Amino acid sequence: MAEAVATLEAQLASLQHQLAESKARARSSRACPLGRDDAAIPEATLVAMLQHEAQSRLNPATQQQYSEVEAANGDTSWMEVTEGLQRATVRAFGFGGSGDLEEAEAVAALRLAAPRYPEVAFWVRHNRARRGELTRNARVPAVALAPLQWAPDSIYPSGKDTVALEDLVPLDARPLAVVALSYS
Amino acid sequence: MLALARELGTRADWLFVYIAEAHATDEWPIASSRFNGARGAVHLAQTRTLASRRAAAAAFARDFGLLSESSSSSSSSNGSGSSNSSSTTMSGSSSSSGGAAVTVCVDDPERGEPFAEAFAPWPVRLFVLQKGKRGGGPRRGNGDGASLNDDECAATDAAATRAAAGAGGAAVAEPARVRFLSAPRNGGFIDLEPFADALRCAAADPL
Repeated sequence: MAEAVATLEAQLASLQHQLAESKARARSSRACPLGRDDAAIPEATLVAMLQHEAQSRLNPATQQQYSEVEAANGDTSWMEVTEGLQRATVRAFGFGGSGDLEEAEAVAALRLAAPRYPEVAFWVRHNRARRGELTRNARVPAVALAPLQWAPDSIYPSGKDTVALEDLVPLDARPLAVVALSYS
Repeated sequence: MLALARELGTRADWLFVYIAEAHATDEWPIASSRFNGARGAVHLAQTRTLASRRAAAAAFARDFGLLSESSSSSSSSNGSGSSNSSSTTMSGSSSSSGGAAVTVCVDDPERGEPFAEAFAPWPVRLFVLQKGKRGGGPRRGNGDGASLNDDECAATDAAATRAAAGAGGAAVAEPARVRFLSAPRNGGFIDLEPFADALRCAAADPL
């Protein structure tokens, strides 16, 4: 009986040790998802990698790649080019030598670091995308828009430099399709 | 988009709002020509004045045939004309495409981009706005934000029409409401089908 208890206690101790190790790995993984205890990327290295990525994105050769892949108008876009340069960036800093998984995890760490350094990551700094507060069936917000120069026969009052969005919605219950865009 | 405008004709009006550049050369360049036809990659700096944004919008309207031929501009998407607002010769902000009224406006950067503030449209987003005439709240919506298919749309309209007729049919314009808004985009391409379906639905039997 005593022997059985001792065996169970030994097994319990082993399990507790394994659990502690597992928790430590999890903490390390959250700090830097490289999946190994000794592989957390120092913050300074991440910043340097982001600077490298920023330079790569603006490099004329990369811009040419963007242009070519976008001109092809296929399923591949500038985003795949960017992913490629991110992989090249982490490899330039010595990550990825032990396989694709490590490279992918280093890229993930790089991407996670970008929002912390918008002064470096211009793609974060200039990303205006947000969900907004508007919902379906909400009343159209009161917004003034600037029309292009008025035509002589414009239906809108001449001399005004703005028009209320609400006034552009037909009174007769026909819908107004609104397309918000830019060239780029 | 223009095909949809032609399909619906006068059953819907159109508004194009020119907003901040998505990938300005001085912010986040990607040199894309994907949607610029044979005009090559887009190289435009961010438009930070009303004049420059109007120039870009005028060039866009010309290049993509949003307005009539007489509404032309000297600006272009390669950046050569984007900073020269005084050269814009757009003679009007409204035109028609296949019978549809088309208006082009800009979100004024000198007034804090009020459209962007309220609609979160960047980099591209689609909306359907509509005023009701029958009373009783927003038309055709089921109240929980879900869209209706065409059959549901028609049935809801028919019920509303009967209700309006029973109440004397008085046509009192209600405030404009958002009937549809596309999901915000962060890279990738926008899906036109949900927008087209919502617009067709809203345009069906509008009276």
